[in-house]
Amino acid sequence: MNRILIIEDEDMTAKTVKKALELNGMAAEIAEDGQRGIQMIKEKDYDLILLDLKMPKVSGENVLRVIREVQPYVFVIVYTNFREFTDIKALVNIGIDGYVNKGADADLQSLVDMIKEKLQPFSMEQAQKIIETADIGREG
Amino acid sequence: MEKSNNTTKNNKESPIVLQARINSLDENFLRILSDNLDYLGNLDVQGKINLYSSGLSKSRNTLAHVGENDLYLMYYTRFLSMLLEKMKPEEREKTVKIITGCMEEERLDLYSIKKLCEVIAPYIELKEILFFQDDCNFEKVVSYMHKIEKTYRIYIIHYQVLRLEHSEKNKRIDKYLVSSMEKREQYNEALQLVLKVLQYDVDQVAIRTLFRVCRKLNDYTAAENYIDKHPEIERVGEFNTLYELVFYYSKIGDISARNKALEKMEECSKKSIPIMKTLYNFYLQFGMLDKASKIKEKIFLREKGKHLDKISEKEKEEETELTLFDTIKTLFEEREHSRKLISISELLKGFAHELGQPITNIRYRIQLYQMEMERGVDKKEELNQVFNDILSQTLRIRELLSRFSPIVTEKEENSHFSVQKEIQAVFQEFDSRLQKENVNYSVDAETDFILFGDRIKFDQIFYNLVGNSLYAINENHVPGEIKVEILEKTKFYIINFQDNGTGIAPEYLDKVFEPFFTTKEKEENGGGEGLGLYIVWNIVQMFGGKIRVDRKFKQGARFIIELPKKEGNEKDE
Repeated sequence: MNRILIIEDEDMTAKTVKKALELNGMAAEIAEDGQRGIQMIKEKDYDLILLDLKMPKVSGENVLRVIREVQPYVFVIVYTNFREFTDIKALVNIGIDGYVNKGADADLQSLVDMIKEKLQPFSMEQAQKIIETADIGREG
Repeated sequence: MEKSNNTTKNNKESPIVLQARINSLDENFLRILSDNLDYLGNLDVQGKINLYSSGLSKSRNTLAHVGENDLYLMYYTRFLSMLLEKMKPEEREKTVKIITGCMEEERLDLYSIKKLCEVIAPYIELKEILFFQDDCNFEKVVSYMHKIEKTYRIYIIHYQVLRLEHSEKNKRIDKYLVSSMEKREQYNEALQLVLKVLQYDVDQVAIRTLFRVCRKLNDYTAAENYIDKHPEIERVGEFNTLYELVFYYSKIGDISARNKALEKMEECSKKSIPIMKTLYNFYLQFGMLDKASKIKEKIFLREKGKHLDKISEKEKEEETELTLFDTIKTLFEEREHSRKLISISELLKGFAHELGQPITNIRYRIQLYQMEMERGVDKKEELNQVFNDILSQTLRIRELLSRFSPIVTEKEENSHFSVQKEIQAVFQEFDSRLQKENVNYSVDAETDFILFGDRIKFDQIFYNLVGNSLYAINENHVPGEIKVEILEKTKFYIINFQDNGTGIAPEYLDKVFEPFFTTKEKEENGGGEGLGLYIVWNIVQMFGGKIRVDRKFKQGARFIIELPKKEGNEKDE
């Protein structure tokens, strides 16, 4: 079972997302602030981390830096209100795999779908199809 | 659960899925590859490179995908530069050809082309680059640049020249190239080149280019380093450099240096209408209305003198007076209007952000319940909890709105009250907190005066100021002190409010009264969202007064409130 860590200071948001992920067959744990999140990442392996950027104590960006030191290849999705690409740029350079919006755009189902897609990008059938159509690796 | 490392985890991925991911080069996978080509475990490096380069040459679609997704472009270029570095020369040539081919077909947007050229520039040979080393080829270079102006080659040149030697010998060409880079918004490259120029030539044009490029990049680090080494440039009297210095000083919040630069500009402006107009715009922007209206008058007289020599002196005078009056009126309207627009947009942004959290919770809570229902999970008993959760989130919204009540409430209960006594009373309400946190306070009045207005709103000014002071003193870890002084001037009364807390950082001085500007953490019971001083500012306005931060005061924070002497506001006899 895939294990997901939710780093989020908003208790209700975190709990609701956790329940939704569990309902979709994933296991989730909650870190209530950045410090606790860093501690949990160091103790355990996660498949995906959902990270809020606006948190007290340690900012989301700094948590992201630590994540990338400890676990360069774990998937990280951030919550963001930034609409401007230039703001995302700094995060991209540290390494993120996606972002979702809060507020009136917030959609639990699309968040769950996005997480699923990151963890399981292709079904076996899809993978087979891609290889057949691209016909790669037979020359060169 | 035990800790596993990433290579073993990766091996869990089935070979077929892995192969599909290589071929489709999705952005997650690209990120991993751009960090580490060895991610694929047991394939040797050359094997992997073969795999990718054949993948690359097969799928031109990969490149077509580049422009559509910013995350993808960033990871793709990072991956590509790593790949090119490790490839065999003939493979490299093939890959570069594919990329340039795509760029020639104009299938990519400009931003993608710039980024891709940066990566492939080291591997492309343009023999013309040799001309760029000597100014005797200047004409040749210019005509060549015109020829390639609309192709990707111009970007290749921009990247390649950065690797050449730069000296007095190619001064003209360098300056030409800097402007070519600026024109194409390659500010990072223009910055690198202009710094090279400045190493061999201290030139006014180059200096102001440095400042302009830094302004465009919104990062003055390079310019600041230059000023440290050449402090004399701050003393120049040349208009264009002064123009950039004004931007620089306002960015770093050095108001007195900014005003000095403006004064110098005014000296240059004696004969030039365009310079006067620029100054006029600056004065408007910085709220220096007296200066703005003076310069507007000068512009008017100059333009008049130019075009309408024949008008009699008397007519001229009359018209000047009339226009001057109109000008000042529009000035105030423009200024008020733009100030209101700024504060409205800040307010809306802040609101969207603050409301975002409870709205997210409400949406998620309902969507989770729907999800559960769709799956046939019978959770009727949970419904009550769902309702309570949603109601608690609406209370949060109400709390946010109620923070604004002091400035939006229609009800006003106006009365006469003593300013000194009112401030004393606010401190008394804070009494137990002041004692607990070891903070002394004093309210000294040279003169007490009676104000006419809503007493509760007036109190709110000092509730918010004292609240802020207690927070700042707590952070500073020294015995606290809050001092209030009431002074009388000819036209107004002054209330000085100061504390010995952490003070306000110079870069925040211009922002403290903006809505939702905060350096604090969110507080449990509301507050900390950056509304306190915004509310203070609004209430002071309601009393017809002004509030500002004392910029010279360094031992903490000091606010100066000016309240007008008018009918109803009189001295207590």
